[in-house]
Amino acid sequence: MRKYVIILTAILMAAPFSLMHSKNRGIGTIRAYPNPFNPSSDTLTVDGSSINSATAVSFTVYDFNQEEIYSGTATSVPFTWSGYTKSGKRVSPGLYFIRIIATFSDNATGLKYIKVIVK
Amino acid sequence: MQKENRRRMQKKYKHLKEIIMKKTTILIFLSAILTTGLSADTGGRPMQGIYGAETVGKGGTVTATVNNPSAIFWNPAGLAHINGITQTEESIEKEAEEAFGTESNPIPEKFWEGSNEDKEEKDKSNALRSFEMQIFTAYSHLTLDRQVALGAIGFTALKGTIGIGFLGTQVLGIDGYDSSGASTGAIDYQFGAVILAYAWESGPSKFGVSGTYMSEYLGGPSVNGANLNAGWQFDPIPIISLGVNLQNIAGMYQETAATDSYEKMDTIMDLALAILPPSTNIEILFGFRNNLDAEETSSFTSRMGLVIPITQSMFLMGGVEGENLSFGAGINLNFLKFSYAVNQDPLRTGFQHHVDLNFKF
Repeated sequence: MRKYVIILTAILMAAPFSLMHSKNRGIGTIRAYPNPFNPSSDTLTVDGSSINSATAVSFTVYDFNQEEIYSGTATSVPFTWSGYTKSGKRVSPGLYFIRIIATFSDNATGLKYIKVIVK
Repeated sequence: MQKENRRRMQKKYKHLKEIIMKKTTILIFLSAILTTGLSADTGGRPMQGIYGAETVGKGGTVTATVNNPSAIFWNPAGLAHINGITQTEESIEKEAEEAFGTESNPIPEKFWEGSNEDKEEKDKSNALRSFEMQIFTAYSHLTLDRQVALGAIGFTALKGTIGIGFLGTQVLGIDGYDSSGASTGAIDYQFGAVILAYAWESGPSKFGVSGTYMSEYLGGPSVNGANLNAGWQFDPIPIISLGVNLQNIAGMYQETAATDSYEKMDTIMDLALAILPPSTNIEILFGFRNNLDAEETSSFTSRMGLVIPITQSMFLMGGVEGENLSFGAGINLNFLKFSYAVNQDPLRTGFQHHVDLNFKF
């Protein structure tokens, strides 16, 4: 009886994860430069041939713990991020993740994460 | 003679403990005042995350119940559970003999006529304490190529518990580019922290303080920082435990790799309540985390956790931190505890796996 309870618990534990899982459609190589970069003297430029034809690009910056630091949209590629938060404060040194969502003319979307070091 | 020596040693340790506590309190207040004038922090560092199977499996609600060397990361007060007290049948009998005497050799009435301080010391000396040490180690494989390793050791010393630990994290193979966009090859990010903590017990309360030195390697240049933390665990009644941990009561971090100026690290409060139904080993846990210095967005995160034993030595864990679910299981053989937990990251990019191992000596 106990064995069945354990198996049932394991199935119930796995179920929410399978429902939550979403598919990531890759959008090829994207460059973010310079990397590492210093917001006091540089601006981070993001480009990539795979998103050049996108009709809209939105990007969100997250810190190491995946907390949102900044978000913006770009009407053309390449686009830039100054290394400052929404309230205009320079971000602390560390590792940041930029989530890029590109929307194309056929309404298809692509998602990519890139890693950037702020020094 | 032996009793007299023991008494002298106890007084000496008590005095030493008082000095440590006073100096620590002064240090914390001074550092807090000095760092208040610095500009505020903006980025979440690895020290602000939760790692290890038991912590993640319980949704981060371990502040009130953590009782092994991992307390150095989640609430230094929890280190005071490593107190060397062993309650065997023999030790209880010896304790009773010391307190009430034997039939042939009863303790004279006069014995109890000392000052309150003497009685308190006598009560404390009844507890059979021996040297105790525990070693904790954990590894978390996080999404987006992040890896975190933790290690800590806790042992009885100075009438309390001393803890020493490290936290290391790395992300390898980041694409590096120069300012013209030309590839400079793969670069690495690494973070390391060394922590020293002291905890002590006083009645139903446990207190702990810790200090951390941190260094971050930024693919070439590096920055560093240091902080002071304090924690409290309180058991008002046997089925309830409360815990508070203040991370970065005082803390400063290098503002940029290019300059020597520092910024204040955000003060983060973790609070937890544990309900421990008697004779069940079930733990019902509630808590929250709040960034007391957050300027831009609400940083309040609610937490819930549940531990259910399935056999005498096996248990299941479940937790929710914000909107993130976690599940885990563990084996507790008293001298050895192993746990595994899995959760999904806040950005829903995948599953994160956590294991930890704790040895008691």
